[in-house]
Amino acid sequence: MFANIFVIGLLNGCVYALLAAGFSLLFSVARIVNLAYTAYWMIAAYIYLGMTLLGLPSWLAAAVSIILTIAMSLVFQRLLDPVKGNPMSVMILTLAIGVILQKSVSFVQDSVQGVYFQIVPSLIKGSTHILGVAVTYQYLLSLFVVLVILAALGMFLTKTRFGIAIRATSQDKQVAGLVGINEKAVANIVTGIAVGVAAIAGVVVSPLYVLEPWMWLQHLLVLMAVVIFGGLGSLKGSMIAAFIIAFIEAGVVFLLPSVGFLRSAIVMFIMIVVLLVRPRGLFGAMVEEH
Amino acid sequence: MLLKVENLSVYYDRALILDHINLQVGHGELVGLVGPNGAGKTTLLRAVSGMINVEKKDLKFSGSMVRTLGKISFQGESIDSMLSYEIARKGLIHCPERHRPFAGMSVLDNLMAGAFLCRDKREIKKRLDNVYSLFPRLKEREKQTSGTLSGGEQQMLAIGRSLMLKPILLCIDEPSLGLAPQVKRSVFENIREIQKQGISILLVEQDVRQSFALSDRNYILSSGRIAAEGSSAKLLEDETIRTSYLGL
Amino acid sequence: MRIGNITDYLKKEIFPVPTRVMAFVGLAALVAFPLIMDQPHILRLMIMIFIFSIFAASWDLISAYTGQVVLGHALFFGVSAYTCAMLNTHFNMSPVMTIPIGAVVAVAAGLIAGFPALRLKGIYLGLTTMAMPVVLVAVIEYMRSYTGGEQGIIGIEQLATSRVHFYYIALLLMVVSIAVLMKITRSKIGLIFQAIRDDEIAARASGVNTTYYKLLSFSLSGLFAGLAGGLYAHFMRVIGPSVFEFSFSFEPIIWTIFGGGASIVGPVIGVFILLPVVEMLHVHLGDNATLIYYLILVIVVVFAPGGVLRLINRYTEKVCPECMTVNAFPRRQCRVCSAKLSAVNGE
Ligand SMILES: Nc1ncnc2c1ncn2[C@@H]1O[C@H](COP(=O)(O)OP(=O)(O)O)[C@@H](O)[C@H]1O
Ligand SMILES: [Mg+2]
Repeated sequence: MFANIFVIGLLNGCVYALLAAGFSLLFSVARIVNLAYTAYWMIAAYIYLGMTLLGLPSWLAAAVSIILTIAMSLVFQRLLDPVKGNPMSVMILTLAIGVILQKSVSFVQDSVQGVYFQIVPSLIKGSTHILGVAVTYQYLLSLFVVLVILAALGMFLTKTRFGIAIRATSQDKQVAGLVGINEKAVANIVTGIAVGVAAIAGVVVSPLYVLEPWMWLQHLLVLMAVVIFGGLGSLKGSMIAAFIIAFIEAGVVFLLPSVGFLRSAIVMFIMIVVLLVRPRGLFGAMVEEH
Repeated sequence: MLLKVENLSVYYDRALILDHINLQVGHGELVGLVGPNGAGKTTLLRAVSGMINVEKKDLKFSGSMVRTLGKISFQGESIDSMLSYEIARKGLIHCPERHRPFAGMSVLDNLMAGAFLCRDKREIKKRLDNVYSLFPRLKEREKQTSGTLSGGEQQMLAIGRSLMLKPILLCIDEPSLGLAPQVKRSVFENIREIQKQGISILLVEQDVRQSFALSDRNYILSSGRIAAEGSSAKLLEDETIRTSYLGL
Repeated sequence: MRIGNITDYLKKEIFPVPTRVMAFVGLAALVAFPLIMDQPHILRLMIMIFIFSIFAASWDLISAYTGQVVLGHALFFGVSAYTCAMLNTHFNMSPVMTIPIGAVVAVAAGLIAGFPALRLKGIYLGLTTMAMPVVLVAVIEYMRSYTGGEQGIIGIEQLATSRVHFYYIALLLMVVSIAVLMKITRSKIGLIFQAIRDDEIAARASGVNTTYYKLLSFSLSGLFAGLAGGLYAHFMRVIGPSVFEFSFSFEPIIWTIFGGGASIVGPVIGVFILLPVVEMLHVHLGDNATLIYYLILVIVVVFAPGGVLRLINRYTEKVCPECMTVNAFPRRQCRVCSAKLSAVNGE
């Protein structure tokens, strides 16, 4: 039981943490609440699936999917320029982009094979037992990849020249300009990285789930809860919040199976309560508006 | 001339903030720019460093408007339509008012952000050593989050961060603002040393006495206009200037 | 005497301004509409338009006017719809009773949702309000013996005996609601709402009781959203948890941004254009309608960031720089103070 909670919570926590890191980065640099973010995750999984169905080897399919998804996000980024001053319009636009991606997938699916639900093929087959719980190799691989990306992202942000420039830009755009950092270039790089991270997650994690075009909305809600809970723009906060929420979800599902369907609601309820006590999340106020 | 500002006017919506400003800074000079609160000193620096051009783009969305007229050139090159990051890359560095450290980052990371344009590790090390020898306090606090530094230390950090860019012309906005007298004195001491390193300086100050003691030439800014200019001694001789602009 | 007043008003305030003429003609056409068109599905569409216009305008009030980011507006709509449905089916209460009660319950929901707004701002508030319907859906599914769970509630009584009858009731309520909302937003209260949106701290510093006005805005918004929800329940006769869905909360935002926010009229225009478009797309494209709908939305938001209303205004009106009177576009001189009007709008 507790082993189950641990296994599921750990994986979901890692995935949430990864997505939250990308989302936070996007927010803190571009100051945009990008509702399409989880849709990039979904689309990457589908492009990967489509490529493997076309007969491409897994690694090539994964590469194509990640590159295409990043390219797509950079194009969509341009659409936001005219409405940047109005956060509500930005939000609606990104939502629309998400829905368009979702419906495009459905459209292609319907016209090609007429199958709605899909299982993405695993990169590796087989399974083993850990703590008495059956665990597939794909699960271990996903966990490993996600942890590696998280660590790499952390190293990149703290140790490299570009990472420091990104953090500087997210703290104070104007002063970043004064030290010679081109904010627009940074915004593009950050978009690339954030969406790239989501795309990688989409490719390696999607075989563990049943894939559906609309699932991005559900993940979006959880993701938003994670980043808000942790404090928008605070990487550390969203990491911790990701695991808290993932373990709460897993706990509800396994300990109280009769109300398992309430798990999102319980997470939401806890988030509302936390926000009322700490209006900027657990670790908020790291990033101040100017 | 290193920096040449000709007939610069700045409007925020309909308000005229700067009115036909003419100002020059020569090689190796330390030029003081003094004037009361709200005179437009910060706005002038923001125009020179291209910050206003960045703001222009952002403001377009919110319906407000900034307009700039006139010419600004640096080392003979026109820079009046450049963005701040492009101007910084030319060696004209603006050290902003109220220090504005990257508050969530460590002291060292702030300095490294200042070295963003430099890819040469040895050169970065050299600049870092220079900053640390000017401000030994910063070395002691290398790992500390910059938002938790004292006001004086934050000012040192801001100047240090600018020095990491290896400026040709350094424009410093009110470095003594809100500092204790003793700390103030040491900051001015540091500025003199920076000039000795061959860096030209445009120093914006409200503390006329200290600024005049340091500067080669001065401009007095009042309600968006240059009210007077000249050497400290000459300006201090003039009774009307002393009483009406300098409050001495 | 009275007739004279009305014609005078028309002459002075309506006819000189093209958009007001359009609104006047449009309203007259809506009144006459059922006389020439009696196809039930068209009338049904029109009734939906009226109901959703109220819903959209209520979001405009709280978010575009008062600046309180509400991403879960379906909460107010749904709470009222469910209240009406339960009172009607469990206690046989007549719609004349349930709709006002539903609206009052929505006001209470507005106050509850407004409470976090006293501490939270921007996206934090948005997320909290977005989470509220999710929590409520869980409660509804948990208490399925009262709420019907996932199946929802069926067999709700119709408010009116005939569709034409309902049409006129909905039209009347929409016109009254929009008029009241416009009155509010153009009054001192409206100015305070906008002051809170633009700079809450400054508003408080100048002596405005921002707590009171924020809660007022939430209650008013809740009231009209609740009215729309009640009408919806008694028109559809069946409702389910889908009224609380994420996507349904985003509809009023889409209508408002499409039409033009902070104007009350904008969201109404948005509904009047988008609802028929959606209907048409669904008839012709089936499942792909949503794709095209959102593509259109993206194009309009990108190319007309201020919304359709601003676009219309730009090409039909000029505002006098001296006395702020609205003039028809071709005029060179203000019709009230004779000040010179510039050739291009807004310069
Ligand atoms: N972003 C802005 N929008 C509108 N007015 C501004 C803005 N920035 C500065 N001002 C106005 O410009 C004038 C000069 O300000 P500033 O340059 O900061 O003066 P100083 O640095 O000499 O104290 C002030 O009256 C100020 O109100
Ligand atoms: Mg200043």
